[in-house]
Amino acid sequence: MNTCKKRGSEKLLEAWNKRLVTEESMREIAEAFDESNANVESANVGIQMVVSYTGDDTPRCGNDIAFWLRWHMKHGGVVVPPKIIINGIPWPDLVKMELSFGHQAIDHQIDERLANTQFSAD
Amino acid sequence: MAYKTPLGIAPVLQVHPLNRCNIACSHCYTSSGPDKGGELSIELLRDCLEDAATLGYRQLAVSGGEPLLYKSLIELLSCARALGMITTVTTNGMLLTPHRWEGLSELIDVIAISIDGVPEEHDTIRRHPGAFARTLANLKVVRSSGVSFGFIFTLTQYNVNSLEFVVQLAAEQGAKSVQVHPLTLVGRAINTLPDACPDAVELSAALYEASSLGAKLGVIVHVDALIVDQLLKFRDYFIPRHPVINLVDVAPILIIQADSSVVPLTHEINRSLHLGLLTNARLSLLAQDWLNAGMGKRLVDVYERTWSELIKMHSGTALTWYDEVSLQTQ
Repeated sequence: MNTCKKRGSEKLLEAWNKRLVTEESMREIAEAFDESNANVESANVGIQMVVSYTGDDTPRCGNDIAFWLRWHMKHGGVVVPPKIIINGIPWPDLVKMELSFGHQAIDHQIDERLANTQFSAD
Repeated sequence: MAYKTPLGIAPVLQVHPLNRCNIACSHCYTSSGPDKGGELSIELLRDCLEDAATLGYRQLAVSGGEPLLYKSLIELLSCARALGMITTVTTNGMLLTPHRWEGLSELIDVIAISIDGVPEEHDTIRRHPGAFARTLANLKVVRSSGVSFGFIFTLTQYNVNSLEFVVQLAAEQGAKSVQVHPLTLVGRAINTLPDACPDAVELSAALYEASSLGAKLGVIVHVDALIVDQLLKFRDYFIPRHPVINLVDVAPILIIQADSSVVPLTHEINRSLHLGLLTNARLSLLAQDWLNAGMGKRLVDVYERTWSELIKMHSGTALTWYDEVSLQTQ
């Protein structure tokens, strides 16, 4: 057990703040995808990106996945596996990826979910 | 019969057939360890299970000590299955070898394996270097058998930040759920972790993390805690009605301790509310005597008093219901 007498919730908050998508970490993402051949289809306030690669550019997706992993190793956070769609086997014509960075938005009201938690298995 | 209990589960008979364990964890509420001898006989527990099933208990939860060290575990689980009960086993996972698992797997509905944080935290609380690695290595034995398994995480004042690691590990390893159990100051924890019980802030953080991580990673994360608003909204779930006719209505959790004591709700409940020893009388008799002595009514009064006190707290305050009920009995 952690011998540090800091509350768990304090440590949680510190970790949370470290992982917020900051201007600096956003810049890292922007620079990486500037260099990439990927076609950026959408980007939600620095949290989720949908990118695609066609033809000879498809091998580049591996470099971008490596960057995505490095970004998480540096900034931490829950790693949500990317969604990857590959069209064309064995030689892909199109690769489409959805990559998540940093914190994910919570899509439900927490109170509502908590209110149902205890009784859901009855 | 559909039961509505504050746990949202079928009434559970929690059996601790022994206090012997391969390790001696710092937070162990039964103070179990390698030096603890003795165990309950299978004959005594078989009678107990039959009575418990008749009384309305639908789930057998075997813990310990380390239940995998109980030599009659297969007979105990077989008996519960024959009575139509759900069977669960809680283990530290270190002894889950293919040899031990063989014969058990088909008798267990869910196995709960203790994981208390990142490896070094886990090993420290377990007071056994290498405990985490050994448990993790054994997960494949359970996984390959196809039996559902989950993790149990003991929440302290200092470790809610590690819940993320445990839920992520659960997702990676194929565990269906993570149960977050707040530390209670009973057993060995009284001396080793006197200031580590999570307060309302840590419980709230755990509830929030559970909701967030569960949704994100597709694992069921359940915290053995609730918020005061739930007490208000679901009063009938928490307070049984008078008159008390069935034991199961006031004690949806019934604990059989390794010395054969029959204890309602929690280990730390006042001894005057214990039903007695199985070595003295069968469970059916103990239950009848207990109800005849008006203990059921007394326990409902405690529930009502606890509820009335707790609803004065601020909206959103997190708490552990049965611990609060037990506190009211002191």
